[in-house]
Amino acid sequence: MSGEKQAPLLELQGITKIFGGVAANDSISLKLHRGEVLALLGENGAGKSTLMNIIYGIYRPDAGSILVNGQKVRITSPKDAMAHGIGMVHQHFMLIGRFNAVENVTLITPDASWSLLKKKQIRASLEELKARYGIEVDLDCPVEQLSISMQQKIEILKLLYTGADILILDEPTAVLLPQECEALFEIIRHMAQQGKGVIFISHKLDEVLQISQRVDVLSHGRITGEVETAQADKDLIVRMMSGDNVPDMSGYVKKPPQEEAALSCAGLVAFDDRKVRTLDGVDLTVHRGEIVGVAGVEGNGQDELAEVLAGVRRATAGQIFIGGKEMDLSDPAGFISSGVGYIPSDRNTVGTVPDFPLYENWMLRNPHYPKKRGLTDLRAVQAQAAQAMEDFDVRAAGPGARSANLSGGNLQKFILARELETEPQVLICSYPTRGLDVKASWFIRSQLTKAKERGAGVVLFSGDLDELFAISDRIVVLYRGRVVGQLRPEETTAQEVILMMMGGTA
Amino acid sequence: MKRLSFFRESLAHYQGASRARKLVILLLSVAAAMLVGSVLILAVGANPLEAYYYMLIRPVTSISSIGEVAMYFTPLLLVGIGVAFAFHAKLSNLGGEGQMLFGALGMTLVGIPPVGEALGMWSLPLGILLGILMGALWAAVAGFFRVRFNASEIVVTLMLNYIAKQFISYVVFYPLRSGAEPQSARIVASLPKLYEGSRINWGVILALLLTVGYAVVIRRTRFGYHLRALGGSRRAAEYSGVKKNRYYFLALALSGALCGLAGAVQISGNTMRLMEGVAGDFGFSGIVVAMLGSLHPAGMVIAALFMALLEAGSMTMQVRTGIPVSFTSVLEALIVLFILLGMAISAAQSKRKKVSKT
Repeated sequence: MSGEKQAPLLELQGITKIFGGVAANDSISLKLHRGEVLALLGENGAGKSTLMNIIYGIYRPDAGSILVNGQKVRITSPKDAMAHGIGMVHQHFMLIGRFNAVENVTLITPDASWSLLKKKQIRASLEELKARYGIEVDLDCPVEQLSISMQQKIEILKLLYTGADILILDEPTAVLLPQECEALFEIIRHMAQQGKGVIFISHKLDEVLQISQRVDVLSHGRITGEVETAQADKDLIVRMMSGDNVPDMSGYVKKPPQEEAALSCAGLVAFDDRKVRTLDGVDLTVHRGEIVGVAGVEGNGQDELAEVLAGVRRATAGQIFIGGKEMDLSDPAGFISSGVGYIPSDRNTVGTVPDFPLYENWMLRNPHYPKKRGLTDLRAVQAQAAQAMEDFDVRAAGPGARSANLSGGNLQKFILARELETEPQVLICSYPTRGLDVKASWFIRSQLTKAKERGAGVVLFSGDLDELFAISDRIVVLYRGRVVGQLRPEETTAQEVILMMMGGTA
Repeated sequence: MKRLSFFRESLAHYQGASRARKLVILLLSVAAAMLVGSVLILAVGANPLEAYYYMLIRPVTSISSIGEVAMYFTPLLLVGIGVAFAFHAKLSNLGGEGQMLFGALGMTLVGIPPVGEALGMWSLPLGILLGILMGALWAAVAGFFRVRFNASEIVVTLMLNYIAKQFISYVVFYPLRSGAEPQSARIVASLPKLYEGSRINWGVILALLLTVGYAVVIRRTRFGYHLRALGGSRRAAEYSGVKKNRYYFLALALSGALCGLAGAVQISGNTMRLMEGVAGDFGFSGIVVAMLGSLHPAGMVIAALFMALLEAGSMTMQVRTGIPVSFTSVLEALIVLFILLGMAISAAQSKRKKVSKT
């Protein structure tokens, strides 16, 4: 932009970081100018977070240097980073819930004195920053009572208050609703106009094209492409990300489902953990060889419906039939043995035990794992897990790798492999591609269609309408714990579905 | 309570740490504790090397003193694996003492005349079984409170110790009293000795066999797997069809069963009579064994041996060097503190790594 002549705000030269023999960052060089929004785009595990953690002083690079305003700097801790005007909004916010925004900011000021006077000063400068950058947020309410997007704004305020010139936002939109994203972008634009430099990390293409001036694509630890956003198009960037043509579901032809029901339920009522009645009489039938997509605004009973259908949460009223057989709702193991596969939305602590090695997680929800004389045959379990990992392209150090060390996509593929191993007649999938990159999402979707073609009844909960339209044979809309509509993707539009999700009638 | 849950979080994290990391933490903890202990020994004007010699080396120099070590080793190991079962499900059984006392009572009830005489050779196995059962039932009380009211098993098991102690006091002062001292009559059948001229008996073999059993159950059975899954992530275990309340209850009962067995062995292999304080400090030292052995079967055997040496050698140490016996408790406490410190540091390190993971 304007700062081409002067030294860039931030420059990286040949940053390399090796983890266990693998280069997470392989001689990465990039520049960030004043007033610029630089998008850093890459799949999960491409090395984005590692790179940002190096800039922020959490990791130290094995090679390479960092320049701020043309001066070579040594950053060994977040404190150093802040001293050089580098600030970062992490995916997990660093806020104290009981404190309000002013108190949270007071906490990070170096000479944290708690006098009222100081607080007043801070408050005044926060008000000023709010006005300057167009940030709408309540400064007096305890942070824990604010929405995620509000908390994020407070994090940004915190950085601006410390005088950060370089702002790193690590997947800031992952936690936001669509309308909240727009507000965030507005703030980012304001910051850029005021001469700040923003690094925007994401794996969502549309956002990146919308907000950034320049895009750097990171893949397998290297910068594989750099392009001015004005000259970029989606296909070009996707090719940069994957190095080749990315498969999509466009060639997929839906085969009509069979007549026979794989799963049916009637009058399901269930309560969530806060004892709120979130399922209010759900009737649903899923046929063999059918993918039923469930759409709805988050919090309208999807989580509970998925858990109830999988037998994990007990419905307080209603019936569930799997393959025509009525299920005992109080017996989760009965659902497993009747052939219900389940991919939970939380793959890290529900789908797997984080501290277990993968082969032990292979035994989860799997009553038929190999045994010898009544005892677990560890060797055979490991062999099975290893085979499945090969079949499903799960990239990990081996079946003994600790599950918590896997990236989201690899862990999800592993869970999918496990749930499909027994060829279930019903597969419940709760947000299976959430947070996954393009390739992993495609892989998951194509496996779901394979399961369907084999004759399984698939229930797909998803927040991604494109996904629902691409592979569902039928879309049902959940609103306030009830099914408010059933639609055929080829006979409806996204607008119609969204309207129903909001409680309008089609 | 927050502290306690932090302890459990650290322990859970620690369970997931690599074997090498665990070993480093443990060895450093023992070394650090012994180093701080040396300072204390110097402070009372004794020679640390001499003191540690009497504690760790001297007890294994004769067959009779090895027998004394065994008297401590057996209950330490049994309570250790008992506590370990519960730890796997992320439950803390602090009630080993009370469960041991009830186990001891079970053995005594069947072992003393006239019941013991009537049962003859059956009084020993029946006494052991009754001891196991009573220990399990006492722990099951805590299990019930946990499952029914979601009451912290840490508090309940701990409190049950006081009830058990008072109850056993009553029993030895009144209904079972025999003679002038507040203690029961001598039991009829004792655990057979392994070697004449030493007190070492079959209790050691029993404890070692059960340790093997523990390893098999934890690593190779569905029950052990589910227990560990529950400890690793409660929601993942539920997702896997585990009925968590049933497992919580069973884990505590099983933990109590082993502590009860330790009590029964204490009577039938050591004291021969029920008396106050027959459970000693094993309820807590057993926790140290589980931690020091990091729930690993062989690790716990080594830890129990180490602790048994300390206990068995402490008397000689007091006589020869003038350091009070209670120094062993100080050393144990130091070891626990350093292990906890090590776990917390290790947990904090990896948390930091997790935040910054790609």
